[in-house]
Amino acid sequence: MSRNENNFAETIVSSSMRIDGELKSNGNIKIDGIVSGKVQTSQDLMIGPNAQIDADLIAQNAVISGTIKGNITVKESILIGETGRIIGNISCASIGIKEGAYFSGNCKMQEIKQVAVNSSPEIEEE
Amino acid sequence: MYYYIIDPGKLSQKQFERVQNELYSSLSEYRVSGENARVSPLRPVSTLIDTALARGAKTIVAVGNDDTLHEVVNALTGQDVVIGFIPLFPTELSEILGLSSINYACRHIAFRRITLMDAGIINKTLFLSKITFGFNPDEINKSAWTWGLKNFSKISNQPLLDVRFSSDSSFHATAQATAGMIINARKTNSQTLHSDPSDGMLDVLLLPKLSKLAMFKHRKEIFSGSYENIPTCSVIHSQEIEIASPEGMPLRVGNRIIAKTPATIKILPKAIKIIVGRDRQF
Repeated sequence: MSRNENNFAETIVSSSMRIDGELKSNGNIKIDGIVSGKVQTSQDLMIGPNAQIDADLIAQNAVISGTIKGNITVKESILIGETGRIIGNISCASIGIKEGAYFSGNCKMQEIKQVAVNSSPEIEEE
Repeated sequence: MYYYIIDPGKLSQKQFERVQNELYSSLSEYRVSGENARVSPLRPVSTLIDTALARGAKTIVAVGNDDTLHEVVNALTGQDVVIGFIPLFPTELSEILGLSSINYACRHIAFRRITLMDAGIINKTLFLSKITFGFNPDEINKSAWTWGLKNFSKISNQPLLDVRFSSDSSFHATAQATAGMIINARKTNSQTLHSDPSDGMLDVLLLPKLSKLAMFKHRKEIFSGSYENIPTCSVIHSQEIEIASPEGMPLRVGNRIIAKTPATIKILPKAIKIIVGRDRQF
C-alpha cells in the first residue's frame, strides 16, 4: 500500500483491524482488513487484495481487489481487479472486470440515456 | 478584566525571572495587564480559578505550559469565560493555537481573536490536544534525529496491544497495535490528515507492529506522530470511542497519564472559547 493510496482515503481499515457493525464515512474509505456488517460512503471505496468483507457496500465509485460476500451498490463505476472476488449482487452505472477476477451474482446497470442528436443540415446541391 | 494564572512548572528560578520580566513588559506594552496569581502547592489552579471567578474575571489566561492550560480548561468547565494562553516556551498547544512566544501571545490577547474549539473528554477530564497509548512519540528524544539506539529500542521493544473499541455505537473493532492516538488537535502538519479541532470529530490512529526495516524506513513518521503516512496504519473518525481492552492500559496527554482503560472518549463540539493567534493551525 503506497503513500498515494494512503492519501486517497480519509478512513483506513488496515490488515490488522477487524470491524463488526456499520462503518460510515463522508470521505474515501480504504479497507485492507476484515469487515462484517455494512460499509457506506458518499465517496469512493477501495478494497485491498487482503481484505475480507462480509457486508453490503454502498459508495460512489469502488475498486475491488479483495473478497466480498455481500451486495454492492455503486452510483457510478465499479472496477473488479484481478484478485477481486465478489459473491453477491452489483448495482452500478459502469462496470469493469479484469482478467482473473471472480464474480458470482446479478449485475444491474443503470440504463444508458439516449442523447438526442440534432439532424444535420442538408447539404445544398451545387 | 484579565486574570493571569502563572505556573513556572519546571523552570528554574533564574529562568522564570527572565520570562517573567518579558511577560510583564509585554502585558504593559499591549495594555492587557490585569491581576496576576502564581500557582503554588498551597494555591493550585483550581483555587486560583475560584478566586478569579469570584472577582468577576471574564478572561482567564493560563501562563505556563500545556499542562497549565489543560488544568485551567478543566477548572473552567461549564463557565462562560474566555480562555487565553501565554506559553513560557514553545509547546504543542502553543503551535496549534498560533501563539509562538510570550510577546506574540500577549499581542493576540490584546487583539482578542476568539474562536470556538472542540474539546475531548475522558472520564470527566477535558483535553485539547491528543491522547496517546502504547508507544508515546512525545517521549522520544527529538534531538536524536540521527536515530539513536535508545529510541530505536523503545519502539522495537513495545509490546503488541490487542485493542478492542467501539465507535459511535455503530461498530465494534479489534486491532493489534503497538501505539495509538486519539486526536482532537495536534501540531503535526500532515497533508493526508488535518486534525481540525473545530470539526466535531476525533481522529483515531492505530500503528501496527512493524518490522525493524519498516521502523527504520518510517522513523520520521513515528518520531513525529504522523502515523497516517505509514502504509499499514489504521485511520478512523468518530465522535465517541469506547476502549474496552487491554485493561489497565495508561492513556496519556503529553507525558501525563490521565486515565486507564476501559475508558470512553467523547468530543464536545465547540466547547471552549479561546483566544488564538493568526498562525493557528485550524
